[in-house]
Amino acid sequence: MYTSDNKALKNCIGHICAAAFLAFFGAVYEYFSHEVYSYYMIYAFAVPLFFGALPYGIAALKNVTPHRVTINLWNAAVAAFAVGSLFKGVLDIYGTTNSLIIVYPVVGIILVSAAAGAKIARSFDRRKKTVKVTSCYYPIKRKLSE
Amino acid sequence: MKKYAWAVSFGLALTAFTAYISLDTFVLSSAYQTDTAQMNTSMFETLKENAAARESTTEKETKTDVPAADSSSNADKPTNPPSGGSPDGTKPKSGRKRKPKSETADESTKPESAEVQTDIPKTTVQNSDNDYDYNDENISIKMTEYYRNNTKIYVADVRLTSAEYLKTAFANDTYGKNVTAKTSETAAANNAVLAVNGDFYGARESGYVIRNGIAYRDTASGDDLLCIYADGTMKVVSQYDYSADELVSQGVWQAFAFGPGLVRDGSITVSESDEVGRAMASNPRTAVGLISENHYLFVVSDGRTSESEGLSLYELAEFMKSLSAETAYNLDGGGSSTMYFNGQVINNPTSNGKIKEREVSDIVYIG
Repeated sequence: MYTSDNKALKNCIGHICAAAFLAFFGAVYEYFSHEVYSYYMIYAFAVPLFFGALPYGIAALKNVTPHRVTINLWNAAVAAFAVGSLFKGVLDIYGTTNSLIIVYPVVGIILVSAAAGAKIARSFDRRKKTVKVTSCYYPIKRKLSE
Repeated sequence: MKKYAWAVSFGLALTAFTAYISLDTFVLSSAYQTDTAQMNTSMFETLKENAAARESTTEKETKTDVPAADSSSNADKPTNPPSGGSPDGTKPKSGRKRKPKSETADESTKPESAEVQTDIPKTTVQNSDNDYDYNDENISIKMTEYYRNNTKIYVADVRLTSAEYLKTAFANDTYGKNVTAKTSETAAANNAVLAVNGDFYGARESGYVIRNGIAYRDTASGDDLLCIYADGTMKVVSQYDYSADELVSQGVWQAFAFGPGLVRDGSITVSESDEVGRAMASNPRTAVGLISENHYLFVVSDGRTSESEGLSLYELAEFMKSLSAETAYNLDGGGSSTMYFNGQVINNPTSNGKIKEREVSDIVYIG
């Protein structure tokens, strides 16, 4: 089932590993934080799980291979959200704030938009190519029949 | 290798940014204002003028009503002579004398508010031979240790002749971010008799900071705000209702943005499930309370040790209420909770699992 060409499956497994690491990190951090907790820390693992492993898992099941640019942008967005969530958890537990924390979700949203844009552009480009191939197919066929 | 160029570059950028934001939050200090020893004592002068005006009016009325009455009254004397303190904002003079516990202050040196005796339960009074009492002409402090809810609690019952002896100080005499010092160091630098940690304003970017009658930060946050007024009263308000300057003009001498408020008008205002942000259960705590005008309570509990579990907010509120607090407010707790009295730290502050004093942004002190 697993082949080296299956990018979606590889990414799915990578995100499951990242989710497991974040869950472990969050649990250890919470254990030593004297019962001071943060939902951002506890649920940081959900980011790669639901926004990484889940879509890539579906793509792998459907045998769809996203383009490299889309994968890179999407993975970067998931990383930005996950690290942002983890850091927000650290700030919460320490009881402090930093206005720069907003950079993580902003970068994440930009990257998600870019990934979506790349995906749309890619499918538009593919359709264009298909139309071109289809349109040139009949004259060739006609010529051959003539 | 080219295949991973994007992942590597983005990973490095993310790591670099996270390292920077971590340093910015926890390490890099920025001083917004130095030399913060100045105080705005104009509100006390106004209070004294008003009191003097009231007394002279009363005297005139008395003279009119009873012409034969003795005119050698003390109307010209201020109600609260500022002999021990310094309305101009300088540090208190060293004229105070600590008296042995057995000695009680005579009537002339007792603060006025001391006439109101409250029924504070003395369940556990330890080290009664040690320096657990302090009296001078303007300040009277009684230290008591309690053991409740498997937790050691230190209570300072403070009576003042004026709220101007309840002061605050910034670490290193500087208002800024990540400017910290141990409570005991800041207290010693300010000749404090009694001190507890403040609200650790430097760890947050919002929340009013009003100290010694001066507004340092006017950015409201959702936290309850404790206002200590120049007339010796205390109130918990919402920061969205007033600006910091409005509060100062209303006579707010000190304001703390941490919370929540524990007791208001003698009733507990937290539920058993309420906690400070994300602090779930028992922890070291610091709280201040008001019993009556210029009669304050400073409470610090130990926690996070086998001897002392710590208190939940509700337990702390119940305890404050049991001490007859009309108003009580929770200050920064956890590792920050420190009580300093007569030159030494008297509680067991826990920092990173060790009995160690944490550095904090600010203190509340009597002196």
